[in-house]
Amino acid sequence: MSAIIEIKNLVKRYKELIALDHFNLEVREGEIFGLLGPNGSGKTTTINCILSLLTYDKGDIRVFGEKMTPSSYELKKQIGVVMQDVAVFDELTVRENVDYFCGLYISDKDLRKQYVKEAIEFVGLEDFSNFRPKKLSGGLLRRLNIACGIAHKPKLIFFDEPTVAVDPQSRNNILKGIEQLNRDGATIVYTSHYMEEVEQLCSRILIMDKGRSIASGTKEELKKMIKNTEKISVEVPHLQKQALADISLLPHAYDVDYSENVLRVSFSGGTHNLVRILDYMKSNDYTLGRVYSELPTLNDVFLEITGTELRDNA
Amino acid sequence: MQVFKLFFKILKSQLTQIIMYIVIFIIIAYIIAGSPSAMPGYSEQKQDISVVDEDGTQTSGALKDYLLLLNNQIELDGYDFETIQDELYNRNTTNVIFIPKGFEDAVLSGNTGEILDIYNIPGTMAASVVTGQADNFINILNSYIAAEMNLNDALNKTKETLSEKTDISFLSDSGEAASPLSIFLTYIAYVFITIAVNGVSPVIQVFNKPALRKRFNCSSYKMSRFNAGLIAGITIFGIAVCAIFTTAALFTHGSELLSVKGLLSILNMAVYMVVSLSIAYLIGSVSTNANIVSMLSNVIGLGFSFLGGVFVPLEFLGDGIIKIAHFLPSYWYIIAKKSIFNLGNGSTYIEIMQGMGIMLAFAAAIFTVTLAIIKSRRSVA
Amino acid sequence: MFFHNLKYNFLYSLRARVPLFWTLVFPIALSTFMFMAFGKINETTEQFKAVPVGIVTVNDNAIFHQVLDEVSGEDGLLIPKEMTEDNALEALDDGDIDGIIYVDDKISLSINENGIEQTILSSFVDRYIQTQSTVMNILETDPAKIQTAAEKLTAGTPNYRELTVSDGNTDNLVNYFYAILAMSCLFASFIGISSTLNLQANLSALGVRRSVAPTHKSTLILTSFISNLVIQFTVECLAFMYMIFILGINFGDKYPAILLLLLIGSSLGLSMGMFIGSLSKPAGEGIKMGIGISVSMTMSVLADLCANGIQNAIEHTIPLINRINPAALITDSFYALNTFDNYERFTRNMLILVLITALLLTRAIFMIRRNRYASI
Repeated sequence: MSAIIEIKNLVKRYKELIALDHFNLEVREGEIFGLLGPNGSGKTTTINCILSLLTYDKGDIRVFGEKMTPSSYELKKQIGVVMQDVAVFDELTVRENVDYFCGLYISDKDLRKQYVKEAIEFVGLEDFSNFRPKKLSGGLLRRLNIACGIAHKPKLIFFDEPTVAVDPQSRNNILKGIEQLNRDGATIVYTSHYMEEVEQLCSRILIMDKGRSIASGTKEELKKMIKNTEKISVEVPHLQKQALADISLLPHAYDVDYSENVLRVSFSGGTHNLVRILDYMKSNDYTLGRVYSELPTLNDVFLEITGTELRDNA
Repeated sequence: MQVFKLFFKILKSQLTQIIMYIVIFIIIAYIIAGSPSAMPGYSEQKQDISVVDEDGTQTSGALKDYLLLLNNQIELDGYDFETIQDELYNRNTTNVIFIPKGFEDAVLSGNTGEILDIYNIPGTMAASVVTGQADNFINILNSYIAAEMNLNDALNKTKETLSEKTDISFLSDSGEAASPLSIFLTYIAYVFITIAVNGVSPVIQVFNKPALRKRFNCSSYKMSRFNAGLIAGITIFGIAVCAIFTTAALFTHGSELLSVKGLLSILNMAVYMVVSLSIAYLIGSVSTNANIVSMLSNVIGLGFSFLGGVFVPLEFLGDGIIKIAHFLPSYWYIIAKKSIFNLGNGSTYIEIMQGMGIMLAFAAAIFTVTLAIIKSRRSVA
Repeated sequence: MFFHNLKYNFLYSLRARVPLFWTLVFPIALSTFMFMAFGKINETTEQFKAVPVGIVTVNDNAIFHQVLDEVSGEDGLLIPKEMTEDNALEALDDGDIDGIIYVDDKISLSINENGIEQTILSSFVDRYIQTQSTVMNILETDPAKIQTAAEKLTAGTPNYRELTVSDGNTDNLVNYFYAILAMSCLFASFIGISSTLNLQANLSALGVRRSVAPTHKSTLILTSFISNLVIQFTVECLAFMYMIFILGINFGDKYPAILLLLLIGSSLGLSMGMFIGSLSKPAGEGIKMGIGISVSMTMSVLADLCANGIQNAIEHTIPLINRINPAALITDSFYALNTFDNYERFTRNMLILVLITALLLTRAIFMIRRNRYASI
């Protein structure tokens, strides 16, 4: 698999603020690449630099192996962009909007007609094709925004937070659509601060914070990077102090916490961790409530690396 | 109280614009107050003319002196064709009179037909008056010359003759004097509508936003209290604007305002404010965005003013326009204002009350229509 | 690609209601109001009309009545009406007559207002008295010459030639309509602003979308300019036709030049809008529109939109303002076309307008053509 996007040592400053700090990135053909990070971490700046909308101070960006410039029209033809802000003309209908933007890429009329039809079907707006955007609900408007970005069947598509403030139904529709586009052969770059989406959708993920790349790899690779492999919570009233000390001595246990009648124990590796805890409780005659065992999430990855929660407003 | 407070919080965002209108208007009002009003007694109306004496003789000088005795000399930057045209067009001068070389010789030989070249705007009163004066001078001079007087005597005799004037008795003017206060009050008809619509309509729009409406409807806040708060806010706004303008009038035309005329005028002003606010309420209720408010405020403000006798005195409006004007509150405001100023001089209190009454009827009708629109809309939504 | 963009730019501009209101509906409404209100005001105040006057005969004076007959009638100076004194006073009070002439051994005049009508009345009576006195003077000094001298007094040909500088419309109220058209041209800046915002990645989401597309910026700018100009020019022509055919305003007959003027005026307004739209600060459509409105309105007011005489006052104090204020240049061009036979002044104004347009447009295109920004 060849690299479709390659970023090396990208530095972007906004006056005092360093938005991207020696940032590296590689996106390979055919994958859904997730760019995950809290708001303001530099995701959109990265995309704008790739698209050569922004100047940058240092570094090298290659798209399809070539240097991207504002006049790289051949490269631009193969790229589709769905930005965070809805970018459509209020004065044009749904079909006219899709046709207009598609027409910026595709000159052949018949081909364009077919593409426009397919794009509208793809986002499920057939019944609304003669509506003006003002008449569409928030979710439908997002779908139109997507249709405008992908109608020309690009090989590389950027989705910048396409599901912000979207109802669950439209959200599912959008995520499924992205998977479909990927199956049809497009490479996807997807940014979000929703971990669940990224976890569900992306084959490879880069986590960024404050303009730096924190970790990257497949989900499994990322999770292996952290100590935490299992988190066990047990509802148990009136746990003695001695019990806490005993449990913290269990093999692989590294973090024990008891509050509001819930015991939380983090393990790094090991097997049968849950069985060991339950055995201890049984032999000490504690009454148990609900018991959970969780595998680590991307949030745990983020938390462990940066020390702050990723889900700032999720 | 909540709604009342909220009203003024939202109004704050419009405040700069409203203050701008008020300040501009008051500055203009001061300028008007500073300009001299009509003088009592008769004086011949002087025209602005430009006399060019190319002859430079005793005779041409006498003609020039005579014309400038009756008129004002305006020196032009140049006397080329284009400048003359520009100055005539802009009414900086009404007649440009060339006394050509050889004028005196022509007078002596009695051959003065079409001797002067006068540039003017044909068919105007000013053209007719000034050409008549020049013609009269030359005719009388000619006849003395024809009677074989020498030039000196003839010129003296002409001067003497022309100084004879008709006895004119000036009877008092019954018409409404264009007093500065009256002009101030006239323009209020334009300013009030503009201020009311630009101030109140956007606030009403905010209150009518569906989401906010629903929130109020869901809350334990009573509808009647909601409306009372809104009406109180609008009323205070109206009173405040009237108070500002009354104070301004007091500063500029104090003595005139402190009279029966003045008090009636303030009442008339307040009544017109009620109409303006009802229009603002209507616009705020039917329109949904700021663009429409500014479109309507311009069209209604200017329309009311041009057709209602605000910008152009009613005397100059055609009969057809006057008929249309009867359907505009601004017309009745102007009628009431005229009656107030002609009180005891052909106008009665009844006429004043009639004007104000019709304005209040307009306000009530507009208010009812607005409520009906709001109600119908709510039942749909 | 070119026609595709052109087509959608047309659709966009045609459906953008707000700018169309300000460039078409508002000028038509405003000109209608002005026309209704004072389309004929100069005719009533300035144009010569025979002055109605009441005649109260105390002692009959055959000569005076003869003179009165001469100046009345069709195209006459006066409309005399024989009246009793009471009727005359009442008529004067009602404004039906402008004065009362008492015919006695001595002629006298009563009026109740100062105005040009009263000046005409007093001049008429003065002239009668002065003529009479001239005759008396000559009879006193040399009765034998009275025949020749009296002939001179009533000379058939006037002693002056009345000349006009122009065959055009000399009614300066037409200025208001020139100014409305100038305002409407400048209002083309609104559509210029919004179109330009939609082209710039640093100012709008649409700009981003169009910047990442493989279309040359110059195509986008050119098609947007052409479609907006065609629409704006059409709008100006409609407003102009409305004034000519519906309101019957006299703009003269140099229609090709007027169309050129409207075309250049529209491009100027549009370029001004593109210039304002392309500035990276202040950002935001609202504030840019605000700038567009205030600049256009200020320029139009300085060109006599609201009150006649402002442009004239500027001409006599700081003429440079009139040379560079586009609205003043447009109204002055209308005036020059309507007034002068030659195109000298019109051409000068057109050159200045084209120059300003070129400067604004160049700067705007330079800004819009940029594709990469330091920040978005």
